[in-house]
Amino acid sequence: MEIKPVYIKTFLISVLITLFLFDSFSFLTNSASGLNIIPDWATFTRNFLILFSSFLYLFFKLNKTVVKKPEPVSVSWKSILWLGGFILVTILINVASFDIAFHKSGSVQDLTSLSSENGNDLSVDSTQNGDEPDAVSVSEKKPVLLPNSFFSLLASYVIGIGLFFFVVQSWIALRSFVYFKRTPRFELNFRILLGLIIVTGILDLTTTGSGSLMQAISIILYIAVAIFIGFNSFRLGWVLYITRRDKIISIFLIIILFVLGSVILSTDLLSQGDSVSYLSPFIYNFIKFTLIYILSFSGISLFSIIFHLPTTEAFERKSSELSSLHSLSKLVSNVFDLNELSQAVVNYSLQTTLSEIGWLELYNPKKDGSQSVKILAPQNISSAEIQQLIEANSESIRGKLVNTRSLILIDHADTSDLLDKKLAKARKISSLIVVPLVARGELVGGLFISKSIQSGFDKDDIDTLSTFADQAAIAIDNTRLFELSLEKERLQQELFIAQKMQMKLLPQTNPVVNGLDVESVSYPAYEVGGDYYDFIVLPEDRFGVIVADVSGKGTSAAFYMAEVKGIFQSLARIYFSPKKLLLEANSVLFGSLERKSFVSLLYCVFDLKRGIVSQSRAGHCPLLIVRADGKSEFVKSPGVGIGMGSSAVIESKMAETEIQLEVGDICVLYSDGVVEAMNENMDEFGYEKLRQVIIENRNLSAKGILDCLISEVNTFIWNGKANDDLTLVVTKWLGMK
Amino acid sequence: MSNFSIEIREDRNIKILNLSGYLDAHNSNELEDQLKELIDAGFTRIVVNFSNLNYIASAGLGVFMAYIEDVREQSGDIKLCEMTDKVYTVFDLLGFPVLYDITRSELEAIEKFKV
Repeated sequence: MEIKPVYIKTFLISVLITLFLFDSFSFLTNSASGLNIIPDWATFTRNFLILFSSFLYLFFKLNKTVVKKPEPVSVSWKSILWLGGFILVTILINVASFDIAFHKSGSVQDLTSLSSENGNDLSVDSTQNGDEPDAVSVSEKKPVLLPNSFFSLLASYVIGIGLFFFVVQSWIALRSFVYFKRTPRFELNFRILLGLIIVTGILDLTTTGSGSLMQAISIILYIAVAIFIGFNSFRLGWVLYITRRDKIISIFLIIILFVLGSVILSTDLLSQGDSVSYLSPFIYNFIKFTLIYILSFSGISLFSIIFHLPTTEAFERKSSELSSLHSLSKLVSNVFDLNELSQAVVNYSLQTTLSEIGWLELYNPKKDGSQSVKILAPQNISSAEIQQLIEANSESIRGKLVNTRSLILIDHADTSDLLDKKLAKARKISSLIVVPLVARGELVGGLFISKSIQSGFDKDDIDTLSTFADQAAIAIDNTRLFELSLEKERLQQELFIAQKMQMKLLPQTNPVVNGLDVESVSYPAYEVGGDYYDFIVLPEDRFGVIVADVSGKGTSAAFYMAEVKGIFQSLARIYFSPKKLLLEANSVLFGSLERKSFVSLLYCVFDLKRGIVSQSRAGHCPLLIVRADGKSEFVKSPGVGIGMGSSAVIESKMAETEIQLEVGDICVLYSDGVVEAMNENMDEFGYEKLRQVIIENRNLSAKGILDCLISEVNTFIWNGKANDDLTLVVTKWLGMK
Repeated sequence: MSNFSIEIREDRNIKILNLSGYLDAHNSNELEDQLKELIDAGFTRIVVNFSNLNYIASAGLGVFMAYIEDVREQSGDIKLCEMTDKVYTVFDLLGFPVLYDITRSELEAIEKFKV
C-alpha cells in the first residue's frame, strides 16, 4: 500500500491532539499537586509518542523536500530570510514565553526547584535522579514557561510545533546553499549531518545520567556533528554566482542573523524554551543543533561574501560574456539577416568590453580585384563619419586589415596616422581595435570597436572580441552560403526544365512499323546529355532510324543535340540516301559547331518492301547485325565524324552499305555509352560482350533483347557510376505483311 | 577518379607531349591549356605520344580538333603516335586517320616533319 502524505499528516495531527488531551486531562486532574503525579509509564509513553511523531514528521518532510526533491537548486538571498525568520521566531517565542510564564504562573519560578519537581518530564529515563546540576547552573534564576496551567500547556504545544515547522524550513533553505553545484559527495555530507543531528538528539535524551559509555558515545557524536557542520558550512560555491547587489543584501542579512543567533546562544535564551523541551526534548535538541549549524554557516558565508565582493565585477563580466556568446551562437544558427546579426554582434561587443563606439564592415571581392565595403550596425557613429575617419590616410586601416588579416590595435587613436585625428578627437575615439572576420580562410570583414580612453583594450577584451568576431564570421559565411545554395537551387530548377525539354526532343513512344519490331531507350549521364536518336517514316515504305552522339557532355552538348534534331528532321525528308544525308548535315554543321566539337552519327534506312537496310556511319559506333542463325557482324564502313572537316574533304571518306535482312535478323544501333560503360576496375563493357548478349537473346522480341542488354550493362557497372549518356535502339526484322 | 598527366620534351624544335593515364571530359582541359600555351609560344610542330595513355574519351579527341587548323595555317601540324590498340580504335572510329597523321613510332612522326 502506498503511504500518501495525507495519511501521515492525519496521523501526526491525531497523535498531537491525543497527547494534548492527555496532557490537559492529567493537568486538570492533578492541578493541585503539579505534574509530577503523572505515573512514570504514562510520561514515558507520552514522551515516546512525541519523539516518534516529530521524528516521523522530520523524516517525512525532510525526505520529501530536502533529500529527495529533484528540482534544480537556485540560490538567492531570500533563502537567508528563512534562516533569519527561524532565529527571529525563536527569540520572539522566548520573549513571549517569558511573559506567559511570568503572568500565568503568577510568579517567576526558580528553575532549581522546578527541575527537581519536573525532572521526569524533561527526559525519558531520568526518573531516579531528578536534578540536573549542569543545566541548572547555566540558566539559574530565569523565568520559564511551565505547563502548569491550561494556557501555558497550549502555548507550549503551539510554540513547539511552530518552531519545528520553522526549523524544517531552515533546513530547506540550508539545503539550497549546500546543494548548489553539488556532487554526490556533498549530498552525502549533508545527509550525514542531518542524520547525526537526529541521532545525537535522540541519544541526548538518554545520556543525562552519568553512564560513562553513553557519555563517551555522546561526546564522539558531538565531535562528529561539529566536523560535519564544518564540512557543510564550507559549501560556498553559491557566493560566486550571486550578483553584487545580492551579495550586499546577503551581507546585511547575515550580519543581522549572526547577531541574533549569537544572542540566543550566548545568553542561553533557548534554554528558557522549556516550553519546547517540555513538549519534546528531541525537538529541543534538534533546534539547538540547527541553530549552531546556521551560525557556523552564516559566519563562514559572511567572510566569503566579503572577500568575493571585489571580484564580483570580473566574474559578472565573464558570465555576461558567456551568455552573450551563447545568445550570439544561437543567432548565428537561426538568423540569415545580416543586419540583425551585426547589430547583435556590435551590441554585445560594446556591452562586454564597456566600449562606446562600434561597427561591423563586410568586404566583398569585386571582379576587378578590389573590395567592396559595406558598413553594418554603426553604433554611436554615422557611416559618413566612419568613412571620414578611416579614409583619412592613403594607407587605410582597411588595406592593412586585408593585407595582414590580423588584429589591429591602436592604443592612441587620436594621434594615429591611420585615422583622421581631428575626428577621432572630436568623437573621443581614443583607442580602437579592429578584429578581422575570417571564415574558411577568407577575410569577410572586420569588427571595429572603440573606447574613449587610451590603451583601453586589455588582453581580456581582445580575447572576447576575437570570439565574437569568429562567431560573426561564421554567421556571415553561413548567410553567403545560404544565398549560394538558393542560387544553386535556382540553377537546378533550370536544369530540371532543360531536362524535361530535352526528353521531349526524343521519341516519346516506339513506332509501330509494318515488318519491323523497334524498341529504344536513352539515359543522359547528367541532367541533360548529348545523345540523340530518332525515327522517321519515309515515303515508299521506308523507315529511318538515326543515333547520334555530340562530343562533350552537359549543357553545350544538349544545345547541339537540339540542333542536330532540327537538321535531321528537315534533311531526312529530302535525302533518302543515308550517305547523302550525312554529308548534307555536315555541310550545315561544319563551321557552325565549336571547333573542338563534333557529332558522331549512324543513319539506317530500312526498305520495308525489299527487306534491305542501307546505312552510313559518320564516326559513330558501327551498326551491329545479329542474324537469326547466330552469325553477327559490326558494319564498320568508313566514315568521319560530322564537323571534323568540310564535306568536300570527307565525301570520299564516307561510304554507304546495303544489307539484305532475313526474318529474325536484328540490327542494334547504340552510342558509346553502351560499349564504354565502365566498372570499378575501369574495365569497359566492350563490343564483344554486346555482341554476345544480343546473340544469346536473339530469339526474344526487340523489347526483350533491349531489357536484357540494359540489365547486363547495369550489372556490369554495379558500383561504378554511368559517366556517359547511353542510347540504345534495337530493331528486329519480321518481314512485311 | 583517374590520373592524367602530361610530360613535355623537345626534340629538334619539335615539342613532344607524352600523355599518360586516363583522358576524359574532366581533365581534357588540362591538355587543351597545354596545347594552347605551346601554340601561343610559337610552337606549331607538335607530336603527341600516346604510349602511356590507357583511355581517351571523345572530349579528349575534340582537343586536337580545336587547334589543328591553327597550326596547319602556320605550316605546322599535330601528329599523333604510338597509340595502343584500344586508343587507336577510338580515333579510328571517328575517322581521325583520314584527317591526321597517326604513326606507329615517335621517330616516324618526327621524320614526317622533315619531309
